[in-house]
Amino acid sequence: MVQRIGAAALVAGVVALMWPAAAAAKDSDTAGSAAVREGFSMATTFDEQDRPSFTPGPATSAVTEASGKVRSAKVATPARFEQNARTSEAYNCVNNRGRRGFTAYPPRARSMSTDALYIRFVYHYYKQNGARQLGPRNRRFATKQLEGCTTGGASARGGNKLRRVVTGMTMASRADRLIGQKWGRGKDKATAKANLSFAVPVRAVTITGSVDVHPEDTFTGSQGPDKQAPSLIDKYDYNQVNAFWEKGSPNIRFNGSTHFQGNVAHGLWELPQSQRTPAIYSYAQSLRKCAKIAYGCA
Amino acid sequence: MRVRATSSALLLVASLVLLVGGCDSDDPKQATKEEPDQAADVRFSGERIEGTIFFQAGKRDTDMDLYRVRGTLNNTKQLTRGGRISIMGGGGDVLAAANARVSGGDRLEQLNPASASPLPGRIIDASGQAPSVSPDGKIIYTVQQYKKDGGDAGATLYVAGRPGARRNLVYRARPGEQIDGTWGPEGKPTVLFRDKPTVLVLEGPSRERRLDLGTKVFGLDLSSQGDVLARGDGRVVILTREGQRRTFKSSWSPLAWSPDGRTILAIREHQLGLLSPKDGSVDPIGSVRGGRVNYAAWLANESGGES
Repeated sequence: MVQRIGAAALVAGVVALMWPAAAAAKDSDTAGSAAVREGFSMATTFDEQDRPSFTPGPATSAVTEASGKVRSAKVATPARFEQNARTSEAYNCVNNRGRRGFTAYPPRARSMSTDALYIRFVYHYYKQNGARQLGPRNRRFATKQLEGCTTGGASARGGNKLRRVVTGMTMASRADRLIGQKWGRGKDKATAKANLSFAVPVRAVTITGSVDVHPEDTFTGSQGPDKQAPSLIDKYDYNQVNAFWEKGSPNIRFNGSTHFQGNVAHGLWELPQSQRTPAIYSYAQSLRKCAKIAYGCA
Repeated sequence: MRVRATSSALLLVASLVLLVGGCDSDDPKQATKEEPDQAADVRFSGERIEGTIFFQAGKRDTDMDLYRVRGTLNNTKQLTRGGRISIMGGGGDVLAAANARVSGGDRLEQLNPASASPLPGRIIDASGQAPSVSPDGKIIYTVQQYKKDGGDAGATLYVAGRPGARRNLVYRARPGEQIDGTWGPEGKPTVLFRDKPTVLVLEGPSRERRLDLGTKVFGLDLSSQGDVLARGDGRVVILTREGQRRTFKSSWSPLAWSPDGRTILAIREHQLGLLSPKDGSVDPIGSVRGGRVNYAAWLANESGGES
């Protein structure tokens, strides 16, 4: 029961933090310098046996000024939540071997589709027990490691152009637990790809994440807060990993992409084996802008 | 042209002066002096020591680095940065560490103590953890075993001899038992249990002897002289090779035997000292700032030449 209340509070928190207090947004508000920010979040909690539960947050949409100020916000078209996501080549986080002590949890996908935007991200989580023995002689302890790998992207339509797509994850721990992070980076690549050697005592498991994107502009990532991340996630910015694609200057009206753009991010967190695994919060956001002068956009 | 010739001559003279003035010894090894690492994350200071001491030190247990002291404690060299050394140990001329720098998880490596950058070392066991090294260079370490669902199936203890030799399984713990391997009386592999005061000396195949040291034992170390040092809760117990037992109350935590087995390097908060195995008295020799020391290995100088 406590867990249920906790999860409800968590969802309420995610809603509150992703949904700034303002009137409902209308997409026609995107005229002029305003842009629309859309996305979703998800909380993954773990029980004492490290079995995960996934709590999807609502999809949200907010009209923002060029300055970043939110003009209006609303809960958007309900986002789809895929319990056992089927991951095709285009949304791949693959571990190169299965072995004892290593657990690959079923991936979860979130997506939303409107006349103006399609966005989908898949979240994969893995765990390794007994990854390390640490500490001085009088207080040695074993550690476990959690890895998150997320891939996906978005495409704008109906006269809109995509400016930015970002995904991120953080472990909701007061302690600094992040020990590794990677993201796809570069310019003019058709596939955003990053791999991270995961902590496995016998042989390194390499998890390779990739997503096919149209070859234009920059995709990279960051450790720490992101300007589009919900504040609940930024609260644990020392454990946060973000990966994004973005297009040049946001102040040029016709700048942007109508192709599928995205990225891949890895985060690796370590904590004492005996400790209950804190929640992992994840999010994805896109930023689009109407590129039409007459008639408006979808 | 004349200016260039004069400059070249001056340069040659200056080089000769530097070369002659810079040599304190005929030994080419001694000609290379280690500079103290001013930018080190953890800073050591103090007196001259014989041999070479390796410290595993840092701010967090997860991100410990390797430091080397040769000469005085003021001349400490930080050998790794952003290191992920979990646990290290040394004995004889062997230095071993469970290193997670590349693989993420622990990987047991034998390091070259003479190298300026000893990590990564030669892999002893890709799944090896928590090594302890005997005075004759044998390494005892644990390997975690798992059930099909990823759960704990108990740890196993292995002994690895010289490079290339086969590892030998010496002990298998029950699921849930937290054990460490070390070296006990007569150089026998010994098992410490983290959650109970039992010390088990492995006399031979299927032959075990319980060792009662009158205190909960966190660590056991064998000296080159055959004496055993046990670290308890606020106590240090010395078990001599003749079978005598000396128990001292001490606020110092022993780190490593000296290579000759006559003294013990110990730490108390920021202080480093030499603990006498005869009477438990401590002679302070230096200090540690900017982090903590979890492990140390004190090797003879013969193995510590710069490569």
